[in-house]
Formats: sequence, C-alpha cells, structure tokens
Amino acid sequence: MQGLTTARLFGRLPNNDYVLLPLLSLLTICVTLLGLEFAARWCWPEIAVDSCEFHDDSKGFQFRPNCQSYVKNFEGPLVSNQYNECGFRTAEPCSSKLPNQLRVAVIGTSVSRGYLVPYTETFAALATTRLTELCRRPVDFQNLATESVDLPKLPRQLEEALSLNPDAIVMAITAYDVQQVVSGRNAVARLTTRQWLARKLNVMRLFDVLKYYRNENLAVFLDNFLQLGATADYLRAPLAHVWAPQFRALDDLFERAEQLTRHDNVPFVLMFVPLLPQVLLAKPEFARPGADPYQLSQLVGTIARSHGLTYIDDTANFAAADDPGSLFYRVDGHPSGAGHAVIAGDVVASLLLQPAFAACAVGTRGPGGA
Amino acid sequence: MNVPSWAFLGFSLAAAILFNLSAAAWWRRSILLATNLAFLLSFSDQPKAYLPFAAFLCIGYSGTSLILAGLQRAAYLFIISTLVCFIWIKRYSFLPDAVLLPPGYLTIGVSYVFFRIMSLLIDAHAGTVAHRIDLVSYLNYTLNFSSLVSGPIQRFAEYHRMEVGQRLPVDAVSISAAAERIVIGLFKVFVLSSALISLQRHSIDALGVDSTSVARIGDGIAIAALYPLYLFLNFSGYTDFVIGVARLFGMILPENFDRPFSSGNFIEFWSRWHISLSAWLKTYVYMPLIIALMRRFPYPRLEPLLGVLSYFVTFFLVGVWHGQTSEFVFFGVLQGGGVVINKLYQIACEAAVGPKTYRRWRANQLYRVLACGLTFTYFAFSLLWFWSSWAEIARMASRIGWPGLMLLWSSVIVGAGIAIRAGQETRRWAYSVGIAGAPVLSSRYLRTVTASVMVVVLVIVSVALNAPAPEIVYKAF
Repeated sequence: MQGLTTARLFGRLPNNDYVLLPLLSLLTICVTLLGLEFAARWCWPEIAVDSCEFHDDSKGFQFRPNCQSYVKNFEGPLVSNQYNECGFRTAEPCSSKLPNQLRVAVIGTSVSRGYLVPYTETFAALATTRLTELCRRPVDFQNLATESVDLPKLPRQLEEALSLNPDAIVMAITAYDVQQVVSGRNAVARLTTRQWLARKLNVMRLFDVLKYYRNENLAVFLDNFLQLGATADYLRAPLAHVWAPQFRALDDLFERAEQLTRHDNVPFVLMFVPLLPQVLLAKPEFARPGADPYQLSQLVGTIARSHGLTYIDDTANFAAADDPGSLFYRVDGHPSGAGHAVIAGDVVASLLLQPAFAACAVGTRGPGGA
Repeated sequence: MNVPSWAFLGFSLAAAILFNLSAAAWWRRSILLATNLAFLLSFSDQPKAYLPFAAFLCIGYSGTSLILAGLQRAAYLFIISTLVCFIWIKRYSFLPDAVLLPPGYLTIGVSYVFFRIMSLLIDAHAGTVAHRIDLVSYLNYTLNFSSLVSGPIQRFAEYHRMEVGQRLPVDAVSISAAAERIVIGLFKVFVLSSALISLQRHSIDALGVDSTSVARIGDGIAIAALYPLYLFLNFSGYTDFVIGVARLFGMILPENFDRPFSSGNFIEFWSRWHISLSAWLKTYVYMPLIIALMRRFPYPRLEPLLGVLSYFVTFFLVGVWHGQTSEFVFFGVLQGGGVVINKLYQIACEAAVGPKTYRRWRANQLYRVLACGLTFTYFAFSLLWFWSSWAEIARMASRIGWPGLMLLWSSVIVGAGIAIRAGQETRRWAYSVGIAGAPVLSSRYLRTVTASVMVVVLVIVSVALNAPAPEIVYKAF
C-alpha cells in the first residue's frame, strides 16, 4: 500500500523520545504507585508495634507491667492493650487469689493473647464473664501469652503460670504455631519465590488492601492459599515427612507440660484453633480434592492426649458459622472478635468438665442433668 | 481462551514475535495459520466439537472456489446453504429439535465467520474478487484469531491487501501505538465496564427492596442509563484490544465505534455503533434490497417509502441476529422501528418547513441537547430487551409504576442530553488547548502518562479482583 507508514499514521518520533517516553512511563508508574501507597496508608492506618513489648533473653517477648499501648491493624479497630502489674493482658490484678476465687492461666502465642482483638472481646475476657456468672464466685483469667513467643520457651511461661496457683491452664494453638515449633526458623515452610516476593511487597499497605478485597471472595482466597507451596502443606493429605521434627518437638513440649502440671495437679486444656483455610475446607461447599482440614489437628490431638492433656479441636465449631470469613481478619489471618466468641464457648465448656469448675456446671445442666 | 485476557495477550505476543521473524510471505501465512488454528483449538479438546464448524467452513470454501471457477449459477445455492447452515449451527429456536445436533459443539465466533463467508460468496458472485483464493488465505481470513470471537467484521478485499504485503510496518512507533490501544481496551473492559455492570446489578437488587418511590426511580434511572455505557465500554474495549493485537502483526482491522453517543439521531447512531456490522448490512442487505424494490416498483414517489422499508428490514435483522428469543425479535423491531420513525420524521420535517429551516433547527443548541438525549434514551430503552427478559422488564416496571416510568425516561432524556452535550463541549475545548499548534490531549507525552497510569490501575484491579475479565457481551452472538 503506497504511503502506509507509521510516520503517516502516528507521526514522526524524535530520537530523544525513544529514551524520554520509556522514562516518562516508568516515572509515572512509580509516582502513581507512591501516590496510591500514600492514599492507602492514609485511609487504612496501622500501629504495628506494641510500645509495651520488650525482649527478655530467657523468656522471649514480654510486656512492661502497668503499661498501656495501642495497636491497630489496617483491617481492624484500634485496640488498647492494658497490662496489669505482672505485665499480663488481664483486667484483674495478678496478686494472690482470694479464698473463693477461681483462676485460669492462659499461655501461648498471639491467639491466646487476643492479638488485634479489643480486650473485652478476647476469649479470656468473655470466658471470665461467663464463668463468673455460672460459678457465682470471682473467676479471673491471667493472660501470660505473648505475641511472638518461641514455643520451645513455653515451659518458662508455664512455670510462671503455675506460680500464680491457677485452677487450670488454657493454651490455644494453631497450625501456624505448629509450623513454628522448631526453634530458630521453621524448617517446614521454605519460601517459594512467589512467597518471597509477597513478603517484600507486604511492606506496601496498598498490597495488603488489595489482598483484603481479593480475600472477600472466600473461594478465591482458598484456591490462592492452596497454591502457596509449603505454607499450605499442613492441609495436603497425607502430611509430608518434613513435619516429623515438628511433631517430635511438640511431643517434647507436651511431655514437659505434663511433668509440670502433674506436679501441681493443674489440668491443662489445649485448644486447637483453626485458621481460615481449615475452616473453609471443613465446610462441604469449599471441599477441595486432596485437602484435609482435620489431619493436623488430629495428629496434634493424638500427641496431646498421650500426655494426659485435655484437647479440644475448635475446627468444626468454626465451620458451623454461617459466615466463616467474619471469624478472622482476612489478610492478617488471626481470629477476630467473632472468632474469639467461638473459642470462648469451647473454653468455658471444657473448663466446666474440670474438677475445680464442676460446681459451676450445675447451672448449665438441663432437667436430665446432662 | 478469553479475549481479552492476559493469557490471550501472552499468546498473541508470542505469535507476533514468530510472525515478525521473517518477512517471507510463506512464513507469515504459515505462522498466522498456526496461530489461528491454535487459538480455535483452545476452545475444546473434543475433536467432534469442531465438525459442524468445519462443515460450515467447507461450504464457504467450496462455494467461493466454484463461483470463482466460473460456476456463477451455484452462487445462490451456496449463499442459501451458508445461511441455512448458520441458522442450524446457531440452533435458532424456530427449528424443530429433531433436526438439531446435540449441543456441545463449537459455536464461538460463528456469526462473524458467517459474515465473512457470506461477503466472500457475494463478492465472488459480483466479480469483485477477481483471483482464486487458496485454502490458507481462506482459513486465515475466516478464522483470523484477532477478530474471530466478536469481530470487527473485515471484508476480504481489506484482508487480501495486507496478505499481499501491504501491511503496517512493525516498528517501535507502531508497537507503542498498539500497546496504547491494548492498554486502553483492557482498561475499558477490566476496570470501567466491570464497575458499571456492578453498579447496574446493584441498582437492580436495590429496586427490589427500596421502599420509597423516589429511590426506586433513582434505581430505574441507573438501570436504564448504565447498561448502554457498560455495553459500549465492554465492546469498544474488546475492539480496541483486538485492533492493538492485530497491529502487532501489521494488520489494520476496521474500527467499530466512533463516539456513538454523540449522535443526534438514531440513523446516525447506527453509523457510529458497531460500524463494521452496520456497514456489512448496508452493503449486503440494504443496498441490494432497495435496488431490487426500486426495480420492482419504479415510481419516484414511492422511493422514500421503499427506503424506509429497506431501513426497517436491515435494522430488524440487526436485532434478530443478536439472538433467537422473542426478546431479540422485539429488540429488532425496536431497532427497525427507530430508524423508520427517524427517517419518516426527517421526511415530514423537510416537507413541512423546508430543508433550510430543518437544518437550522438541527443546529439549535436546545434541539441538539434533546436530540442527543432522545437518541441515547431510545437505545437504552431498546436494550432492555437485549439484556433482560419480558418477565424481568414487567417486574421492574411494576416496581416503579407508570408515573415513575414517565419521570424516569424524561430524566434520562434530559440528563443524557445535557451530559452528552457537556462532554462534547469539554472535548472540543480540550482539543483546542494546544502547544506548538498541536492539541495537548494528543501529545505523545500525555498519552504515555495516561497509558502508564492505566497500566498501574489495571494491574491493581486484576490483583484485587483476582478473577477472569468480565465476559465480552458480543461473544455470545
């Protein structure tokens, strides 16, 4: 075709523009991303660091006594953390028990502590209220849990808990905790390139906000999660052999817990709290071939029961919720206030089976005494 | 493979790189054929699914070859056979079930292949295709992967010019222009049309629950006015995308849209909306029909009426082509009725006040606002039978009530008219702002910045939605 040239159709391009235009495009992309990141941080603010937290070489992360701090996740409310004179996230003082008082010591990691959840909505606070009503005597939950404890340091936490003379010990554990149970760095979940990139991008609030809206579609969330390589391994049946060190470490940990609690004759209630992918897979409409939401909790339960611990798996109760997505923070993954309400129900139910709380259970029994 | 999609873009880029490795005609024809067949084969892994489609292509190729070999009398037989085969493959509802094949076979793009085969047969019969067409050319023309799914409809002559070497050179500038067009297309489909259809569906849901009549009228306005905008962005976005992709192969596909909502009447609207379809119908339906009618009824006084009748038939076919249900038949009646009323109004006005006064009316600002608003509103009204069903239309109408409906459509006419005119004036002003005699809006620097921002938003929306692109409405036709 005569005259069919790019110059005729699009105009001539000066030589400088071969450099200028790509640079301009790159600059525009950077400026747009920065602008969007700024807007995301403005609209979805976060307070990531708990100013009361400090690190103790022997105990791991601890909290300053009588300290108050605020934390906020971009997808959650502003949460006030009030620590009592022992540095526990508990409204009640940690001083000696009153003569007729019942005391529960909560140990563990972030879920036990009620990370990102307002105090009154944590399972410890909800269970305190409920048990106080049922027992008609003061009940307090001294919450010794921290956010990022290494589970191998748990015996130290347990020793401290037992020094409070509790009537029961409660600990919440998740699949994430089991992954982290081997000290140092988790040996199971090696990072794939995609995960490495995701971690680098996670410093951008914009990326978190996008994930928040993407995870609104739970089926999409689940399918994405199942593609996450080693991170999702605990859902794939059968469990890979690389989990053996985790289970050996759990066995050692529970054996130590058994020794300590048997010595003081204090019941130990281990609560398995599921993560959102497990809850979804436990619902028939989200079932995926080759994925088993219960296998990890069953194995943890077998080890816990072999050491005489009381073991409760919360997965089915979480899965019974109509809107499982509301039980968790979509991006962060921790249980929300609604999730803690489910945990609280099971904590109360399991404590009522313990000898110290048996009298409290009278009010909950029907005419048949069940 | 969805079009547009990231997968299709990757597939096209890989094919374009191979295609441009050599300028040899045999190489390019071979790569294009392999690309077209690979794209077609991506729709089903069942060989049987391709048989009706293959038979349809065979009829077209045999007919074209025989006509070009001098067997002119066979033309009508093959034109009718192609039409019957198309109706049969498309499973038109008036056909008895007993004659239909079991569903599950490939029908993707069959309407657009039909237009290409039909134009080839008619052109061969009319003698405008002077040379023999080999099988590779035929397949590359009818199955062109860039426009197979939803057009645009290219005439064989245009395709052939490119095949014999008159292609657009593929250099840095044309690749940039292609990339810009692809980005604009993706942005329209992924971002704008997705947002509009979400809003429209939200309004449909809200109409069912809103308790006040004012809120229901507001929902009705959103339902009626958002769909034409969505359809435009969805289809023109697809068209922008495939035009950009074709440019990577040095191919120029015909444009399908020319700011249709700026039209001052319904006839003009159809010259700016789905242009390749209306041009095809004008060439192969309207012109032959009016010539035949004038030969049959050679009375000058009847000429305007014969024109009106031809218009009706042509645009009725536009509607019926879209689907096989009674809703689409009525959609066709509304399209045909719209152009007929428009034509009769023009004839009546010119007869009553004279052409000069009529032209003066049309130049009047208020008249233009109302004309644009009315054109948009009539199209939006007719589209109710395009995207909805009789039962749903009745349900929506009963929720709003007759007084509400009157207020709703009046508001759409006035609102659309003002918005369109404001948009036209803004566009004119924006293009009047220039540097060194050239409008700033067409500056390559501004276009680079705009396209780059679109890329960022596109990627963000793709990540956020993490879902396939919305379906192209015209993929179904």
